[in-house]
Amino acid sequence: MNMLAGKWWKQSLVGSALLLAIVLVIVAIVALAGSTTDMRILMVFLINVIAAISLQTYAGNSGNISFGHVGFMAFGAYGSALFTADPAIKAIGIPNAPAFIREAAIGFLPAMLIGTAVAVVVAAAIGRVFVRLSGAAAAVATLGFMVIIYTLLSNAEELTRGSKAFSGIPEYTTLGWCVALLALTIVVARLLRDSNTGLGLRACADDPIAGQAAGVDILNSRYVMWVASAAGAAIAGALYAHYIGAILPKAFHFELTFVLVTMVIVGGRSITGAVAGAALITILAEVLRRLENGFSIGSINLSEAPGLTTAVLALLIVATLTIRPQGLVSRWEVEELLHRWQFRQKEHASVRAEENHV
Amino acid sequence: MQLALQQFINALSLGSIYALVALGVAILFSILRLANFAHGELMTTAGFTLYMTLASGWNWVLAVIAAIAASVVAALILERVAYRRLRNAQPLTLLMTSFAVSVALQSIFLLTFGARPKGIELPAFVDASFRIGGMRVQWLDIAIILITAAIVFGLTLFLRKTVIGLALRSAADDFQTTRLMGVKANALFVGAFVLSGMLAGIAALFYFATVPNVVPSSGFEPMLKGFIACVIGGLGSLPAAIVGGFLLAFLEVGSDALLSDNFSPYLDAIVFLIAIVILRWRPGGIFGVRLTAEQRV
Amino acid sequence: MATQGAILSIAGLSVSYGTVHAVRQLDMEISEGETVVLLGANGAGKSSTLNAIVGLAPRSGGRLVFAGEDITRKPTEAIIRSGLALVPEGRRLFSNMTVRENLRLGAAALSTVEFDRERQALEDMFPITRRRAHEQAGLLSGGEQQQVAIARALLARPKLLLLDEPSLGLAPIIVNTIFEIIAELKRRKVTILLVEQNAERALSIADRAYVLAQGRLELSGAAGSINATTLEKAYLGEREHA
Ligand SMILES: Nc1ncnc2c1ncn2[C@@H]1O[C@H](COP(=O)(O)OP(=O)(O)OP(=O)(O)O)[C@@H](O)[C@H]1O
Ligand SMILES: [Mg+2]
Repeated sequence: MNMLAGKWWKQSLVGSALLLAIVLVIVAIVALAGSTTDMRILMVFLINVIAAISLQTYAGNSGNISFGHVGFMAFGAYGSALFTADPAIKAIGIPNAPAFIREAAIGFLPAMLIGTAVAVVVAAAIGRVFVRLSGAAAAVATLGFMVIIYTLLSNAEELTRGSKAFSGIPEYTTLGWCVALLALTIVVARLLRDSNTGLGLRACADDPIAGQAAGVDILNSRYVMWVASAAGAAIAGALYAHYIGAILPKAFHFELTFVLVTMVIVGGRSITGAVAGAALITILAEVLRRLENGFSIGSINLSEAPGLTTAVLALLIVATLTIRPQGLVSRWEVEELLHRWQFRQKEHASVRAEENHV
Repeated sequence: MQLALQQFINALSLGSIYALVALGVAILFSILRLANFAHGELMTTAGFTLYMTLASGWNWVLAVIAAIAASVVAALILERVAYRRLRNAQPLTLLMTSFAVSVALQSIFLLTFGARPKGIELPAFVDASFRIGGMRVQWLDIAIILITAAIVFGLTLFLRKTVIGLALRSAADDFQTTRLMGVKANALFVGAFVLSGMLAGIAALFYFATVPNVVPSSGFEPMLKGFIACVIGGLGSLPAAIVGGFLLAFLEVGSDALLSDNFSPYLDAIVFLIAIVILRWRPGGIFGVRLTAEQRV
Repeated sequence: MATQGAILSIAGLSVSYGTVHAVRQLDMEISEGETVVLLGANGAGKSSTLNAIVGLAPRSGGRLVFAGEDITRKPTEAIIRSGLALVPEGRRLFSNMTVRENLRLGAAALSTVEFDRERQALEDMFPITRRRAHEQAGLLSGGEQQQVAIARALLARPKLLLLDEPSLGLAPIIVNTIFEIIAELKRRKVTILLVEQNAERALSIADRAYVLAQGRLELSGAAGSINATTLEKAYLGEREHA
């Protein structure tokens, strides 16, 4: 497709706009008709979408999964939280932190940029290891990375209050921030995906030998995607911290990893897939939660049974993967899906026309 | 000197546990290309079985048998329910399924047993020790090392001398051709899962004898270490899994001995970091295993 | 519909890999004791046919009857256990296992005692399997590997032996050895379906021949009735179809 269109980025922008438009319709509906709870779910959904698209930028292009991206989210969250929280609160919570952190009280955007920069530096430093691995080895190594970050966060008490919650984070995250940063994420992710780097990388994921024969530098291309996706994950982490107002290392562990990776895999191997996956998982989780509350009307209170939602969600995911292993939208982006649909409609129409003719 | 010897025994004992976990993981991976993240939950199954049987006054021999049996049965159920339908699936799908299965099992444990740690009432002999010179050695460590050695020896014999053992080895090499020998694919899968479940059960016994309480997420840490052992050895090879397990244990005990106490909470992070550095230079593990992603069945 | 004495009858067999139709509507029959050769240019669908017979290649149509039993829907291992054996293209020994271990797997359904008896019976015909029994199969030369692969297939005493290009990639003198082995098997009344590129030699040894082009049966008949000219025409037939 890229070779045909002279300016490949035009299609990327059109695709991004289309995808963003769909998300905006959802946002508008919820904002107009939804309850406060619905609004909260929507915000978490938007943040998750940013994280999922970021992860997809690495996973979808390289064909490698990463279980470590919650680590980058943690960098964004803690980085941004540390520099924005009220110095008075920090004086009590983290009295032993270095002065430049304890006394800092900068704005949302610069703080977010600091968190993101930390994530990018770490990603750049360790990325060379992960881009050389693939398949299960990559999954295991990135899972190890997740545990490394988790261990650091839960023990660096001077900075993070250890495994205790770090609270008093200013609640800067508004719907406007979420939508704006989502738009940015979608556009950057699309441009990366449709660039020569992304195209070559995806070709390699399908057929490594042919791809390399065509001169694709797998390692460097993966590395670019890895660093970019770490930045996106950090932004999502910062948004999350400033939305919830309190964070703890446990929030960036196994559960969040599971949620994000499932969104990406269940959705399919495209940015549209990440959005679709995030939507599906959010809806499923929400329906389950409401059902659970519904059950508790009787004498048995099932909501006291933590784990039911997760168990059912995990089983649903297993079922989805057995039924549709390629993910909801397979490898297609939204405008490609539209084209395919139109094409099929036309075929149907022409068949019908022919039938009428006869 | 004595301290060093003591640390050496510690490392051997820890390495034995990691090697058993890694072997269980590697068997499934070599034959099915399945990275079974739910291996940890097989261990947790054995742990809860141990807790329940011992708490209700069973003889420890029976409890041990029950724990291993529970783990094997759980492995077989997973094979039948989750993995059998996915034999031809993409590696990534398989990986995600095992991840989801692991999460589902953890949640089911949480629903059944709650989040609070369940103390396992170990028999007294677990703490027994003896002295050589000034050094105190736990019988448990010696038992773990010797039994692991026996298991590795037995497994080797099984894989070399029995037809199903040979078939498991050849299936790891070339699944299609193994079926051309008239070996039933289902028998291979069931055999691999039984072996893996047994190894998980035995590893769990040793693990919970050293950490005598069980929570729903107990299996995660040993599972991850077993996997990392496999990866730094070379994913898919059984000898590499054993070597990786001992290497990881020696790294862990060595780092703990060399670093000051301030660092001990960071021990896992340090060991994983070293593992990642090893992978930087040898992405295929120290034995540089190369596997083809050819289709199963 | 199976003719009297036919050990294997194939009716309307089609094989397709997605959109690639490797074999189309193939009819074929092999009688007990016969040596049949299946010829065709590269990519004609010969291997696909053999693999489909044992259930390894995706069959998209047709019916297979072996020894009076419908094997169309059976899994590979069941087909093998009912008395078929395939020596696959490229030999496919388990390269990091010993020769003896490879042979043992060839007789996976037999007990150890039965295996030892069968193995000793075969060792005279394939001395290599005795001499190098405990060496890694992957370290043997191509010709030696081919002998081990044939021995491995014979261990279960198959009613029909399928050989896929046994001379592939071997030096001419080794090819002679392999053809001598096939001739010896023929003398011992082993029913053989042989796929070969070496048409001349294959025809000289076979009773009957089938020629495939583009997955379609182009020619069949007594091996003696097929000569270089008819064969060339059949091979060329594929161009007309294309
Ligand atoms: N696994 C497969 N997936 C897709 N296409 C295949 C596969 N195996 C074979 N084909 C295709 O099917 C056709 C027939 O292949 P086949 O191997 O049966 O030919 P052949 O007659 O054995 O050729 P050769 O003499 O080269 O061995 C070819 O076009 C080939 O590309
Ligand atoms: Mg062929």
